[in-house]
Amino acid sequence: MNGKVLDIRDLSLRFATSAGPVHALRNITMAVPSGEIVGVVGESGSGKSTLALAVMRLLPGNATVTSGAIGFGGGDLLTLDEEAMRALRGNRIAMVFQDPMTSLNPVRSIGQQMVDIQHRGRASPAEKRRKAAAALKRVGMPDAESQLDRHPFQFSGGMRQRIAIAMALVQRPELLIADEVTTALDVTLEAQIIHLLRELRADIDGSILFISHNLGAIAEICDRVVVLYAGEVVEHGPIAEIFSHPQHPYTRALIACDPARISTATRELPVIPGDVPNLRHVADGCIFQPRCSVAIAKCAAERPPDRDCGAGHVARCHLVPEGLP
Amino acid sequence: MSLLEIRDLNVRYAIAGRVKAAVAGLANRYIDAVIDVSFEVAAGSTLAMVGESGSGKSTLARAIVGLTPFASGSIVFDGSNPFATGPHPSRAYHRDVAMMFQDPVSSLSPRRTVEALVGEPFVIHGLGNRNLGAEVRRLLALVGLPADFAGRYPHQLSGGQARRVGVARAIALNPKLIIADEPTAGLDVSVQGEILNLLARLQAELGLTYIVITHNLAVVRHASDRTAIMYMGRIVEAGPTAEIFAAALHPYTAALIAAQPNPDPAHRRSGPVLTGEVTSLRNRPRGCEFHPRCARAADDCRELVPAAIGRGPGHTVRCHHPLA
Repeated sequence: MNGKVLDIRDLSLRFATSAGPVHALRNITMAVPSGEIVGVVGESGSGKSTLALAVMRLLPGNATVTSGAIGFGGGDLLTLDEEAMRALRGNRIAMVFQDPMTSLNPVRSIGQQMVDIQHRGRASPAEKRRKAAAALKRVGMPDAESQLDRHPFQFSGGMRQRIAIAMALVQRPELLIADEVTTALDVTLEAQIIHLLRELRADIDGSILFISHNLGAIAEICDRVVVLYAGEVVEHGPIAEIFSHPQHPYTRALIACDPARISTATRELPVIPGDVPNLRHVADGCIFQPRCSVAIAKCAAERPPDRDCGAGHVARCHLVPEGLP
Repeated sequence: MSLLEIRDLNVRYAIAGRVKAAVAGLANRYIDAVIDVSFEVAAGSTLAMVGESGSGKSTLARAIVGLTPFASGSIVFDGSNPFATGPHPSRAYHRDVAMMFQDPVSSLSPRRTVEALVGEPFVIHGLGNRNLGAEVRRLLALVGLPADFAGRYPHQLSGGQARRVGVARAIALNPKLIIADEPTAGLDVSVQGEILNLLARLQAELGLTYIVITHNLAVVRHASDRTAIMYMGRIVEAGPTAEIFAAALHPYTAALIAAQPNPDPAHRRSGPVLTGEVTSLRNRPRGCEFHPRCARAADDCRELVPAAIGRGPGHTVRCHHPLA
């Protein structure tokens, strides 16, 4: 099946602040095909977490969606009422956050919490508990049954993240949103969690939206990547394409900056000069133009089009020739 | 010549008082955070201290600057013992050894301006009667911040700018040694390079010596001359950085290097190289601390703590069955 689990079209949203509106996301179009892991990569302020919260409809009160649709399960999430949305969260779309210590309830045992999230199910409490234990087992928790009565503080950071993932998967959601789930972990644990997500995906035919600033983690797990810069999708495509033939100057610079990819040791690491633009006043032209090393006059004046580079690879840049392959 | 020489340093934290330990029947009311750590740092060089959470790398740093008392061992800095008179080193030592803390935004007081923050070391050391404004401008220029940043507050700074303010504070009193705790943690990759390049430039210009504490091996490879790997409080391997990356001797070092995510989707790893987690410091395994997670572990590893053995110039490893 080649359907899209998540289909975001032309999504724009802004935050009202005392200094005026901040245009945090602008005309985002992206999709998560069924059974695929789609990475969203971007630096601080690129809007990647805002995007995740928009899908979950958990944006703070000062956010206003100004255009677009978030297609999921044949409908538009943005048109659902709060009751319908609540029924969806945790059941059909689940989310795992960066810090499991703050996303888990510290005063309830993990077993209680994992039963709580099944509150819509009609199964008996004993059955729900069995389901919780099974989910814990699936994420590699040793002796899962007896762990149910322990509290979050009794687990290590890596185990807590496994619990958060187990909890997200109890209801077998159609879409899992993983927001920087490996960022707070040590590198050996990060490798374990990435491996776990890969295994689970085979297990549940799950579609995952994997949000990270870590190019290495994205490269290890994703099938497709969406590169976000200052609230816009500047490039997206299959993982191998993006990493071996990046077309947008921002993607190229980002990959070039990763010290893990620079094989010879150097004391002069590449950087992207300048700062992320202020999104209160979005200038005409390309959003990356002020920091772009190859910008031409047109880039400051005119918004670049989305250029098709073939094989589902699209870059928003004037310098990508039209009708490439 | 070595600027800093550490011999057999031990740092322990009491986890229970005498009474509680007696009532609870604790055999050992301490946890050992740093055990028998010895190393030297040559003047003008950079040593990277690498380890995962709980490895003792930050405790070691705090002990060196005198923020955490150590139980035994010796620290010789620039030919003398700064702790000769007790657990609190002299002011001169605090001027010579500066610490750059992790997370600069929270290590900067939110109520003070950049000028006050960068000028603070002078005031604390009784040098406030100098022309502070001029000193602050000189330091800001040195770390690549415009002079008008002096009036800003920490919340008006980006992560990279806050880190630069942290660097300016660290170099304010012309230290000889800077201990940088996770100087790039939490920064975007495009900004990481800026900070590392700045540290490299200042080292060349001011002849600084660095100890960089980090868990980011990609940073270590580019930014250090020597690397020491810590596991559960011990240095398990130390040597020239290039050598460690080319031919690691300790199985833990090799696993850490292999665990780095590969930024090339064509070369994905099939599975995690290292399973399990760091054992709790309260239940320190007998013998080699790494043996429960080690694929090469044999009977001697479960019984005897391996001694540090030399393998080539300046390269040591604590392992009964090193990889080469």
